[in-house]
Amino acid sequence: MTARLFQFAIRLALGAALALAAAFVLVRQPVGVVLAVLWTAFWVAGQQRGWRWASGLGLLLFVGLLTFGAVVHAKSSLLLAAMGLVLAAWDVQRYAVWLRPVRIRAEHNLVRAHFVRLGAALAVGLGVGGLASTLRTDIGFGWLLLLVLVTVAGMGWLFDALRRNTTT
Amino acid sequence: MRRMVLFSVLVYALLLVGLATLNGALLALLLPLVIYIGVGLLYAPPQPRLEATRTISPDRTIPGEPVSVTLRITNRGRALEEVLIADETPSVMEVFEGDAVVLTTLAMGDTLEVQYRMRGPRGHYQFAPVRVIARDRLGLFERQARVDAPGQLMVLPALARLRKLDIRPRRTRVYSGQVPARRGGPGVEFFGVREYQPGDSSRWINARVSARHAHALYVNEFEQERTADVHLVLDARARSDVRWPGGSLFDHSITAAATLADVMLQQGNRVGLLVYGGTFLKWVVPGYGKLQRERILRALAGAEQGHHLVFEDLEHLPTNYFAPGSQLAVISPLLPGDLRMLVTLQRTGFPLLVVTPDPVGLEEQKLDRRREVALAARIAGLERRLLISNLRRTGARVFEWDVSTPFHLAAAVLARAPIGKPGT
Repeated sequence: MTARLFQFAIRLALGAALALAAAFVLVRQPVGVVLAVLWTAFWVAGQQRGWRWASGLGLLLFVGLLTFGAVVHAKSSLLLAAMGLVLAAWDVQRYAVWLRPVRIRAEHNLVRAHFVRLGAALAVGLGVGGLASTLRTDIGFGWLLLLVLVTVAGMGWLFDALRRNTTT
Repeated sequence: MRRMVLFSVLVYALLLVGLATLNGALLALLLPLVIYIGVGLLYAPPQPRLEATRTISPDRTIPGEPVSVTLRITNRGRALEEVLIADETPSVMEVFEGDAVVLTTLAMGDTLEVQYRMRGPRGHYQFAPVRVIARDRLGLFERQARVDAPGQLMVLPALARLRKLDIRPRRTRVYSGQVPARRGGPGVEFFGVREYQPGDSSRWINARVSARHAHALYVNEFEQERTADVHLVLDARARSDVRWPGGSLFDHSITAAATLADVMLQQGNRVGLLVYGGTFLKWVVPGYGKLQRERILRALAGAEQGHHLVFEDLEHLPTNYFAPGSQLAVISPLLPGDLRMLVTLQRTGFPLLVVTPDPVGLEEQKLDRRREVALAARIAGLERRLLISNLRRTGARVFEWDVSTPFHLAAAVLARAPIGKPGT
């Protein structure tokens, strides 16, 4: 099962890289395409050589490429799709690592439940992201500042909750 | 923790860059990440509240024999979506059937049974509390707990059966046993002749001797057989050992000690054990019977070697632990400096039986067959032979054991040894 999950993670990563490369092609950014290809090579090498740190770093680098894509005004739907795919790849790869050394009771049910949860989270995330990318509003500096403060405070609360709920 | 750092960096970086550049696409990219974390938080696992019981069957065994472990875990708290239950077996034990680590789902009140079989070397093992990791399905939040499931496993040393072991201590105890007591009385072996006394059985009359004396009858006297005090001294000094991957000479010494204890106790003697070396002395007070056998085997199961300056040689052997005139059985590969103390013991009234597994021959077998090795083995062998010869000259019985032969086969010679003669 874990071998299949690893393969699936690689396919998802390839899909993410393809979406990103397509976004760069559409805005004629060959550098972006090259970077996407390099990223793919790094990810696949990391998976095959079992570098445990590769998936985290890969996600970080990919988000960097997405930021570059957004800055050069690449198509936001493609960027969002790439984000969803890379997040799924990262999640599935990590899940396969988690499952590898253990015997699993009712393996099929457990894996299916994981994919249902992941699918739901990504569907909602991409839906809301897609909706957000179509909205256009003009806001003043004061509102912007308030928004920044609220967002930063919200994120802080979220990460604090994450820290409190993780006892490692 | 690393996941949290990663997500913090990603989310805050996207947020700040998005707001700084007023780029809505970047803020939109942020949303799948935030929702992913939010879903994890929504289903964050509760602190696990589990109860566990452990059954080990059998809980005492010998090295290499399989042992079944059954762990029953009941969830007394809220349901756990994904829970990893890891029974941390002692590192030297090999799990060869089933798994000690299981990933599953545990609803409230559910009971999980984890079964596995393992085997391992001699030792006394205590099981650590079971490690439990509960996670949400996305693996973002984790709760860890330890659940007590006490259990202990005793892997006793392998025991070879010896039918008989002949010993001749200076003193015996008052109870009847199998050790010749050097005094006349009821028994089997002929001891001497004395004048007839009223109450003596007519079957004991020695006709030949009586015929030579006109006015007296003489009867045969037999040697009384009694129990004796026997003290086993096991050499646990690391510097006297030979080790190789997967074994050591010390393990053979332990087998010998267990076998000697078993046969001595079977013969009705009072047996004690001193493990000399390691970081401290291990002393099993002398006793009789099956309970004492169990005590000695348990002590041997947990016996470990070590370095300690005090125990570098046998000079600090606590002789006041031993009953005067009792039989000493020393199980040691022997070091050159040991001779003085052993001679002193033999001369101060402790008849010695020295069982010495051969370290030179064993080490030679384990090393490459080179000329230098052969020469070194020859020199070491000569030194050892000289040591043993000097020891035998004092009257000690020395049994040299080539460990490639099982102890019970090699030690059969100990049962046949001529009584009262030095050395074997």
